[in-house]
Amino acid sequence: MKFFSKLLVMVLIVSLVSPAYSQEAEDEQEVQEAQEAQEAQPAAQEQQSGVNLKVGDNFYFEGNVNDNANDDKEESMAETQSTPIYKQTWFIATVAIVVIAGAAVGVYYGTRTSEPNGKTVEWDNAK
Amino acid sequence: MKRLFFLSLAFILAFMLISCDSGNTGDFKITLKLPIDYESVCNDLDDPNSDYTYCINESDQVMLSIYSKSNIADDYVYADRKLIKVTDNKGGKEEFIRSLKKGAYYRFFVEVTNSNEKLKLTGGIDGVYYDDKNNYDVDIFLAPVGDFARVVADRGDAGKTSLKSYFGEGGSKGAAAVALKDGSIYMAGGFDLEEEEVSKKAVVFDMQSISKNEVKDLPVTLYDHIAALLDDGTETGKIVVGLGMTEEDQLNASVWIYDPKNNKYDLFALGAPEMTKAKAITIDGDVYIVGGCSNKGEAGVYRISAKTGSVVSETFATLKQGRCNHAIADVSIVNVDENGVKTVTPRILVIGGSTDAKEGKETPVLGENFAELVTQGVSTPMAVADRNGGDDAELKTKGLISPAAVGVLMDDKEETETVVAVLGGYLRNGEGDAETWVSNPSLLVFSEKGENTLVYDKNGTANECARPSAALLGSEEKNVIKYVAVNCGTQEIDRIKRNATDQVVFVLQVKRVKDSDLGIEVFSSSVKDSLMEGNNDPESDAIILDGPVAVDALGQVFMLGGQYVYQVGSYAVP
Repeated sequence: MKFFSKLLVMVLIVSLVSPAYSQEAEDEQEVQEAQEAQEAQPAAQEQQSGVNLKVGDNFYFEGNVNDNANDDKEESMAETQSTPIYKQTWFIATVAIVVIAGAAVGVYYGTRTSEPNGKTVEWDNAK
Repeated sequence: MKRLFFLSLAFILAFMLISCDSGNTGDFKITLKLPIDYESVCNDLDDPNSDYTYCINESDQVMLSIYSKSNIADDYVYADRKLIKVTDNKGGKEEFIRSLKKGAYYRFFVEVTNSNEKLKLTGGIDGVYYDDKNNYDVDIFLAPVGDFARVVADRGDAGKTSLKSYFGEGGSKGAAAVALKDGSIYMAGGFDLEEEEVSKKAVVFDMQSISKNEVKDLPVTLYDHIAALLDDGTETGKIVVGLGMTEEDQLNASVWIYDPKNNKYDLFALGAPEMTKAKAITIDGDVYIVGGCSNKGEAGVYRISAKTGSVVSETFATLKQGRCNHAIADVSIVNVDENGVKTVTPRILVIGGSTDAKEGKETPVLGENFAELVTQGVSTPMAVADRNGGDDAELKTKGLISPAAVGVLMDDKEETETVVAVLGGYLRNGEGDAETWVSNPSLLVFSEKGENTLVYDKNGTANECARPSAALLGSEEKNVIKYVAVNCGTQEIDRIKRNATDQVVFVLQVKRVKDSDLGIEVFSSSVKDSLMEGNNDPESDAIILDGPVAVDALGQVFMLGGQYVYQVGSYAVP
């Protein structure tokens, strides 16, 4: 029973420390990639700012280029691509609390009945 | 994502640990509990002059005997035993068996012997149902053999862990107690001498955990009532309780069947008149109620049985002389055929008593009706005489009120014989204005001699008991000496509050001896020496005036009625 308790504690430590580090690294990597993408975006936009028109085609802007109407559209699209529920802080916190409580109960019951072992008779001359 | 995975893994593991394996693997731990070490000698084991009866010390041996049965209705069968040589003065721990059988009932009996192989402590528990899905942690209190000790869960803290009744230091009178089939002890009612009121409280002492469980109160306040075990085939059995007095001078006719499992009392229509100081005894699982006093001595002998599934009663016999304050003893004949089938022919010996219950003014039963033998349908007066044909103890002229009587099977010879040890009580001196009452100074042993005749042997004693209770202590088979545990109370006849030093508990030795004068074998009884100085509890001011005794199936006797519970260690399982 003690073995299971120790195993459980180890798993808890690993789950709370190691994965968190990996997640941070993952997050950092994602942030870095996003920054790189952002940095790369103006260049791409610059590259795509020129439009190849055939002879006779007309080129014109729809609407007012100064009213930023399309910016709202981009924002609403960003909202539809929000963080999954399992990455939400509240969800992770809830799961963590449940796990810790479960583990604590498990450790309690696991260690509480560790004695006696087998079929034993015992006495204490002081008692 | 990884975080979620590991957290889920931990959660699953924790869940598995809780739901699939909570540690219940059929472990069974027996903890031996020792009596109070009054002289604190167990911590100083080098003194050759000390008595180490209350210790388990180096060079002692602990024998644990195991009995089992598959069905509750069966008799226990010897299963195994473990001999443990003690190697440490502080304590010990040892595995006693590799496995126990699931679904079986177990009995454990422990014997501790010293280096001279003298048995010094015994104790046991009964009716333990084993299931390997559970863990067990049970206690066995070890009492000195043939001596008494206060039951404690932890002798290092006796003040807090002594097994206590519902009475205070002032003690009681007229309480009733009986051992259940599972070894627990039921106690109910009694007149509380401290509160000066009749009690309706009831408790069950759990000897496997050395604890007290307060159970449902009696339906009415009661003292001088009956309580006897009725075997209905269940693990605990039921208890017949009732009659007696509800208040001082208020007789009771009601009888109830107490069910320990469901903790309830069911009124039972016995059909007996209201009466007090009746006697009840259990023979072969049935309860027999003998005599009692209303405004006269009652003569009815009732049998209550639960063998058919329901509780029924019948009139078993009618006494020639109605009486109360008498003593009864089981002298049944038991036969076992070649197939092991046991048949019991119930026989009850009735001794002494009075024809009314007026305390201090009773009219004793005298003459040819002094003793009767009750069998199915008939009660026969027994001729009573001493070995010389006289009446040395003057029983037929002075009577004997409120003695205790115990049937003792003498099996030291090929032909067994049941004798009856009688002790205590009080007898009348003089008549009319010159009438006085004195406590019985004799220890008597009655034995049957021919048809309808009793002879008695008489020994003197310094321990006189006006209203004792007694029970047969578990004794070694074929041994020439048998033992009776006696809750003596006091030798004073009036039932008022006393000092603790008035209270005496002792063990009687009954043995067959050769009388050199008569040239025949007779029976003698004598008081066995106790380790308790003055035969009372040195650390208690509590008293027992006329408390009950209860004997369990292991032959252990429990003394009750006072603030504490005392246990007398048996010599062997009967």
